[in-house]
Amino acid sequence: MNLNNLKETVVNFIVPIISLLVTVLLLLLGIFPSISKVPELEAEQTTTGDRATLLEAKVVKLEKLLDFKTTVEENSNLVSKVLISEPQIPELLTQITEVAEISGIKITRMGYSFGSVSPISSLDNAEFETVLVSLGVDSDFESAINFLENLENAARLVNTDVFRFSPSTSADSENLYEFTFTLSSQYLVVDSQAVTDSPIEVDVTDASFVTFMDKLKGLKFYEPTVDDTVDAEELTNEEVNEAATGASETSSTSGTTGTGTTPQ
Amino acid sequence: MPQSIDLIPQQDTEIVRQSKLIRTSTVLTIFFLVVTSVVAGYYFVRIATLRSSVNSNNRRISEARSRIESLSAIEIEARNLDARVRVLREIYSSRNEYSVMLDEFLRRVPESVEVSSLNVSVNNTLSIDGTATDYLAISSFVNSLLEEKFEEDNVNGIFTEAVLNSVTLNPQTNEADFFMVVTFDPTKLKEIQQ
Repeated sequence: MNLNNLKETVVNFIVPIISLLVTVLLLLLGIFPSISKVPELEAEQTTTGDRATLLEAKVVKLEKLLDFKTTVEENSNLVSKVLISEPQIPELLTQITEVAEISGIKITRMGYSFGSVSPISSLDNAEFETVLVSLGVDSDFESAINFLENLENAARLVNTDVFRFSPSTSADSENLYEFTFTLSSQYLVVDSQAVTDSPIEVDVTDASFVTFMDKLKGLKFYEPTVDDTVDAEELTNEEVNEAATGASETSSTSGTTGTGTTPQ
Repeated sequence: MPQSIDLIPQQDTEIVRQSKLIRTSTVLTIFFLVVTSVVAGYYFVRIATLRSSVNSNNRRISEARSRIESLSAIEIEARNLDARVRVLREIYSSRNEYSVMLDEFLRRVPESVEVSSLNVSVNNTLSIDGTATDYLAISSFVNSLLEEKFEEDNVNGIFTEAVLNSVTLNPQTNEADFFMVVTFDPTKLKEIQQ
């Protein structure tokens, strides 16, 4: 009797029961999982979309660089001469000697040492190294200014860190001053890797980049051969600093591992 | 007052009530089913669209990566160039072009003053020893150093401060020996800017 009643009730309510079951199934298997799934997929869509856009922009940039391959190679060659990869001390000293000769000044002593390693703020995990040159010359003011100008316009990077002058003590040096310069020349080993997902920022057609490269092209290139190179003694950093500050005179024979001094 | 008499049998009333209940519950559950189906449909389409979009993005990434890998040689060259240019910009923007300063300094030394020694320090100061014909010549020298618009000046305001540390009258020559410290503005000595 009861079973018949139940059967009858179920038959009567078959549509609501099925509807309810389907609704519950849709909620449990469809809607509730989707509520958490959609934000994940949206985040994934944003991430992959951004990455795809970034990589496609990189492809466009690389293809543009490929179109300007000759320019890239020329610019690479140029900057490699301005900021070299190795100390190349004989070539550096020869460049300084040539600049001095062109400027009409007389080198009385020259020594070098290796300076500190400096971090580069614009590059991660990169450092440039420095060769310090202590240079003594006899010169008048005009020639000294010319020397500084020529040095500033020389292609291989040479900075004047500090300098000083005082009246020359040489017998044949009337109206001449004894200048002491501390020069520094940076060099940087660059060995970049292709990093697929990392963007490329260089744009060889960018106006500021072109202007900068034009300035570098305007520098004077001294390309000494091996025969032209001059020897100079290697000094300690303390000796270079002493020469710079004038605390004590740097003796031309005070080198530690030098190859001898060749005053010009 | 007239009395209403319910003549419908109790069994029929029960059947009508049950029939109403069935109809109401059917309408309600179908309504919920429709709403749930619409929401589920929305999510189904949304998820399918998102999955399709993610797959499409992954295909774009894959294609771009393979193209980038085929251009690795130019990428390495470009990165090397970029690194060197960055360092050069950094060095050029921080280096002082002392030719400008020395030229400007010597222009401002009056004939009545003779500079016997000068020492440039890394803290942007010049230590100057010299001799002047009289005290007024020293004053004239200091004024011309600090003058904003010197007559042949190319670089205005290069020297920002001049401190006269000592002045001694030499009784034999009747000249004034002096020692002063001059501060210069290093930003005026940077020709190649970033």
